[in-house]
Amino acid sequence: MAWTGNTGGGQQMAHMQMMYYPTPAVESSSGDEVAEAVVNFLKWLYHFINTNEIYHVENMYEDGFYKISEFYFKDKPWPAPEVVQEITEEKDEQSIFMILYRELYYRHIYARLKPTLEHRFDSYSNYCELFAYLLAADEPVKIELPNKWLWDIIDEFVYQFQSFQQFKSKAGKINEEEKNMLRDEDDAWKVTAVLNILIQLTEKCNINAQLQAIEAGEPVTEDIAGEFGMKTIYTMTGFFSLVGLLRLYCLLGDYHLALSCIQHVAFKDKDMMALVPACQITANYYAGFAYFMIRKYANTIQLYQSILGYVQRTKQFFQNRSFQAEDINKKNDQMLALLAISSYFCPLRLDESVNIQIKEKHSEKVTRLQHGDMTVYDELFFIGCPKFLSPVVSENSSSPFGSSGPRGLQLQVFKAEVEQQRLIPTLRSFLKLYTSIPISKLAKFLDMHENEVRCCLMAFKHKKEIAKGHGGDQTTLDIDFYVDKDMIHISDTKIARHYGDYYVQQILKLKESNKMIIGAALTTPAVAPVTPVTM
Amino acid sequence: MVLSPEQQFEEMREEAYFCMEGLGRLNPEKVDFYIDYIKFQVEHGFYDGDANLNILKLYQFSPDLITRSSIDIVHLILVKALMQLPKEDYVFCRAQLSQDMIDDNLTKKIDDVATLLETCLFPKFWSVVQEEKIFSEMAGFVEAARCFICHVIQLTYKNIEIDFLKQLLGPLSTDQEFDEILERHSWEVNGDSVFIGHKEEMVESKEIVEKMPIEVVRPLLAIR
Repeated sequence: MAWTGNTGGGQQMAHMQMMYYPTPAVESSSGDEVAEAVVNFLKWLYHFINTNEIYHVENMYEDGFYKISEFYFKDKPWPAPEVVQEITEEKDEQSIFMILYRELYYRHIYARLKPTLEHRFDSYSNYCELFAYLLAADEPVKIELPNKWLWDIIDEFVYQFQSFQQFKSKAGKINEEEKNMLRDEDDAWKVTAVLNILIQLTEKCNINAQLQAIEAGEPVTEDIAGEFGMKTIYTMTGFFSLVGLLRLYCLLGDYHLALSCIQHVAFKDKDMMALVPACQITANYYAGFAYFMIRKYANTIQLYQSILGYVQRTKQFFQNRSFQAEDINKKNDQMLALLAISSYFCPLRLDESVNIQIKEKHSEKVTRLQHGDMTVYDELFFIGCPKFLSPVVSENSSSPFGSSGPRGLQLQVFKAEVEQQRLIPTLRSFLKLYTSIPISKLAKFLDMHENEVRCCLMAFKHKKEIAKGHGGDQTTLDIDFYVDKDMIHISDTKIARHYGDYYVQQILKLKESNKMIIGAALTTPAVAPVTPVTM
Repeated sequence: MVLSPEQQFEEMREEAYFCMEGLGRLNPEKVDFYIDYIKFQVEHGFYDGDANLNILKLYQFSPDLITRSSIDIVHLILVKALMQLPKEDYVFCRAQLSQDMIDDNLTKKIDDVATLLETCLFPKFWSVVQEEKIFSEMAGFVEAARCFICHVIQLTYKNIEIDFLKQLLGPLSTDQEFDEILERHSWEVNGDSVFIGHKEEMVESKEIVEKMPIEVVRPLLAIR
């Protein structure tokens, strides 16, 4: 439906849903012509953003933008900002609509094409404009935006910074002209600037104070949140910035500040991050990774189990967004790799579905782990870890994937733990076989001196205590023991066979099969109706 | 008015706290303050992990702050962090070091000592620690190490042989010191062994029964 300037009527709304669906008759034009569907999309988006009709903005953003990109701009950029300004008759090139459009424009380039250095700098300036619009305002801005869009802005901002650092560190692939540009524009994408923006966004709405109030079960009043914090756009941007900081600190190897970001975040199903699934997955992944690096494996396992379950349950909603699904699958695999290591160091009961996934993805590696193969740790770590960054990248920096690059440094920290855990699995497997055993006998089995065994027993206890983390009610599969002079007494924990999970899986499968059978029966009229199998 | 060390420490702690608010923690001009602060901590036996870790962060973000004497500060930070075991301070610090800092000989030694502590090879720990000045010159290091060792003993033992216990606790200057440690933890001498605490409930026969949380069962309840 073409833009007529008239916005009344539900009928127009229904048609509007159709108008930006790709119509085969209109060809994707080259040169300066912009397809009609795209023009309509832009005009409607402009209208809805300016009238704050957030429901429609959300629809257009989540559905329309993606579909139009897929059909018209699969391998070329969206129309240049100047063209869009003309189409929408927006006079001010720094209006919020234009800033938001440019954000989408550059995001598309990063996702589907290769950004040039100029794109990187321009995108950075645009982000500065966007955040200045929010932060420099004397009173809260009137505009409202869907949560998903706010999260994507922050997520993309951190991603583009990451991309810039990685670009700079590939010293060999930068040509002379680019090197000169980098030297001239050395203000763009500085790590301190990026951190500064995120920190200011969290402070603008007093997000930490708000989270503390929520934790304590108190209502969030203006005293706590401040004038800006009472508006959703500021609170949600502040919260998403907190997750952005969590991610950035992890990438820089600062797990202390990473964990301090989320100290008041509850990680429950019903809290703020659940509003945007991608945010929930990112937050859980990085939080779990930070706990993993400080050896609190129980926390990692708890977070990853629940988020992996969540991803399984909501898989179907991501199917129609191919690049998002790809992202989520990647995080899924990363978490499985880290879970494989975590549950080896800290045996806790894992859900059946998670166990199956680990077996499917990494069964060969898990077997090698259990056989004491030391090389598999590097492999699993490289799969599971994020793309670490160094805050300062000079022309002489070592490659990011070299042994002294940011990833290599974190690997060394992890390998120290691997070395410290080396004797523990063997000890565990021997102790499992007994309810009591003298130290001298164990020493013979392990081919160690008695005092070495004593130290090893203490190390087992020490590591186990650390891995426990906040505790919680996770079922441990691990043995426990105490030492009475020269005798070790070991716990006799029996685990009842768990049938429940398996039954639930099978029941749901049967339900699906029934659905299919009935569906097939209804569409083939020649076949007599089938009575469904009742439970 | 001359302030006591406690009061001086409080003042410095507050100043550090305000300096590290928000992005302020990355201000390279304050690095000398943080360095004086950790030297004060080392001399008088206080500890502020956040501020010490911040020095490492400043070195990471502004490498031009690093001078030839910076590595000494790094060593102090690491040993101070090690004294916080079983807390994770040492790992936090270790994850912020550059390759140059890691390759330094004394850093490697400190790392070895850290490994000895984490793998609870305490007798060897005491002999290695005597080889390096930094440990003997650090106020409170021996006490902190003993505190950690006693914590691990508490986790592991019901009764422990006196001779082995003395080996674990390292060189004790007098018998009185040993008695003080026993008293502090309420451990009792029992002939040739020391009673640490009852541990029997740890190894009681347990059967882990399955729990089915409601989220798992909910999809079933929807089936007619």
